[in-house]
Amino acid sequence: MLSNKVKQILLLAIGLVFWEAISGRIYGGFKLVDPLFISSPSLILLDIIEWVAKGTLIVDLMATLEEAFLGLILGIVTGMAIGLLFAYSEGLATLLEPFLAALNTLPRPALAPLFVIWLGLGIPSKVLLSWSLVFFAVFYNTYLGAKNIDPDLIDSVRSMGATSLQVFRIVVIPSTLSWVFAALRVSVSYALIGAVIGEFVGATAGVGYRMMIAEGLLDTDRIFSGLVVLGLVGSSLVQIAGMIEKRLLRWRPPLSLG
Amino acid sequence: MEALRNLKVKVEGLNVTYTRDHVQALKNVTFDVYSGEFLVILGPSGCGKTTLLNAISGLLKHRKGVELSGRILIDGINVLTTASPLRGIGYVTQKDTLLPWRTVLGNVELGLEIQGVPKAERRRRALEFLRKVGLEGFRDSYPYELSGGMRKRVLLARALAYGPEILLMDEPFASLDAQTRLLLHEELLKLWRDHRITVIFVTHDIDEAITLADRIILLTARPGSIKGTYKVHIPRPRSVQLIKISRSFQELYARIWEGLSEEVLYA
Ligand SMILES: Nc1ncnc2c1ncn2[C@@H]1O[C@H](COP(=O)(O)OP(=O)(O)OP(=O)(O)O)[C@@H](O)[C@H]1O
Ligand SMILES: [Mg+2]
Repeated sequence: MLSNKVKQILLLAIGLVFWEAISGRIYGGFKLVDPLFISSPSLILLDIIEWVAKGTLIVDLMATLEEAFLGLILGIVTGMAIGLLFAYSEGLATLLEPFLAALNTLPRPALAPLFVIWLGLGIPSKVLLSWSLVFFAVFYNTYLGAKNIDPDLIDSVRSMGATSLQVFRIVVIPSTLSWVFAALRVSVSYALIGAVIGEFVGATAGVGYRMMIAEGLLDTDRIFSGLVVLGLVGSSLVQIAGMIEKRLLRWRPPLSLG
Repeated sequence: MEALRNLKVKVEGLNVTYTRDHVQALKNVTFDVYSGEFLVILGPSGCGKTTLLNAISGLLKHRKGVELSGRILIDGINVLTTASPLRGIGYVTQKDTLLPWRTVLGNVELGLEIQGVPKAERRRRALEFLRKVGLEGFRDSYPYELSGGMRKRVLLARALAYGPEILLMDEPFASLDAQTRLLLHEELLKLWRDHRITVIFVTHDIDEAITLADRIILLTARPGSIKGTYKVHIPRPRSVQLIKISRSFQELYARIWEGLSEEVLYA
């Protein structure tokens, strides 16, 4: 029997060959769809090589990653801070909850044009968009996490003479962090989505920016190259986040519903 | 003899009411605990035992929806009015309160960490107590990896590691199988003897009460008030297995059961 890994690689290879074939690049007679619409694996590969060789891919990728990373970090920090503030201050939470809920239902990418007007074509407007997506995910998780702390844990630590600050450090932070880590993978992909969409709307560098330029030129190869790059980078980042999450949440009993 | 012993805890006219549903949990509870004594509070389910320990530990006074009156003096200081956090109490609560994200060792270090004991010293002390409850080998395990009995041992080590003078225990062994429970009784008595600590132990199990106690206070059904006090004259060290077949155990059991059964019927 073939292992699943081998099967997966075979499936991928078959898919790529099929794609190459219907774009007519193996034998003209098979051509079903014009490469103008679907490009082809070989064209994409050539384009990526060209993109790398020109030295712009690394610049574009770094720009996109920087935006996503800053958005992620700021989103986590502010989301946790505001989430904890709300958890501690019930009054504030009930007062502001409707506004936050409304903002959260707003499709964030729709804010991108505004952010570009406010902050310009550079990195900050993408960071802001990225942040706006990450923030709410982290904020809600933090708030829920803090609200779900077992009061008996707090009592037991208090009975050992802990001050409020110690209770915060010893119980509140770790148990909310576990909720935040549980949302880490989602947050990472949100951060990347925010950065790329921000670039679509207006930028001077970035993978999304190159894709937008390519659209104007009907350069399907480049658009696909961008997708490949984003796909590879995105899935590795999510994988890394998953590993971090697993390592930090090692103390949890492994869950199996199967 | 009695007069020579030092008073450690004095509970005086304690009333506790949960205001939300107007449930009075404790009514005019008054008793003394002497230094180094093993006191067992026995009472039917729901009579206010946990409430009593929460009050003594100082937890209740922070809580909303609780009305407290009376006095609880520990070494002469009124727990219900003092502003400073209480430091000299170890509390093994009825629920399992190990921090799930900390290892066994990290949990046992907790009280020492709160007191600001330096890292090396707190590690040393925590390991010492883990050894005493026989769990040295599990120092790096997480709570979910332990059995119920092991978790209770860790909770006990955690409550003792920072050197409290009073140990409060709320039905700590209620969920364990009979053999494990006996083993833990033995270990607890040994720790109590070695550390000369004052213990207030809550249970609804008469066997357990007689096995452990110097003195047993029986509470009535809710609102809990004191129904009777029983001195346990069985000499120490006691064998937790053999004690049950002794005559004085059985006589005391019968007397206490008489009192408790009336309350269980009430409840
Ligand atoms: N937080 C609370 N709010 C309102 N009522 C409470 C609260 N905690 C306890 N009570 C009530 O106070 C009474 C005494 O409760 P407590 O937990 O002290 O009993 P207990 O003797 O420890 O019972 P058990 O043996 O089942 O643990 C009960 O009737 C319970 O319903
Ligand atoms: Mg109880």
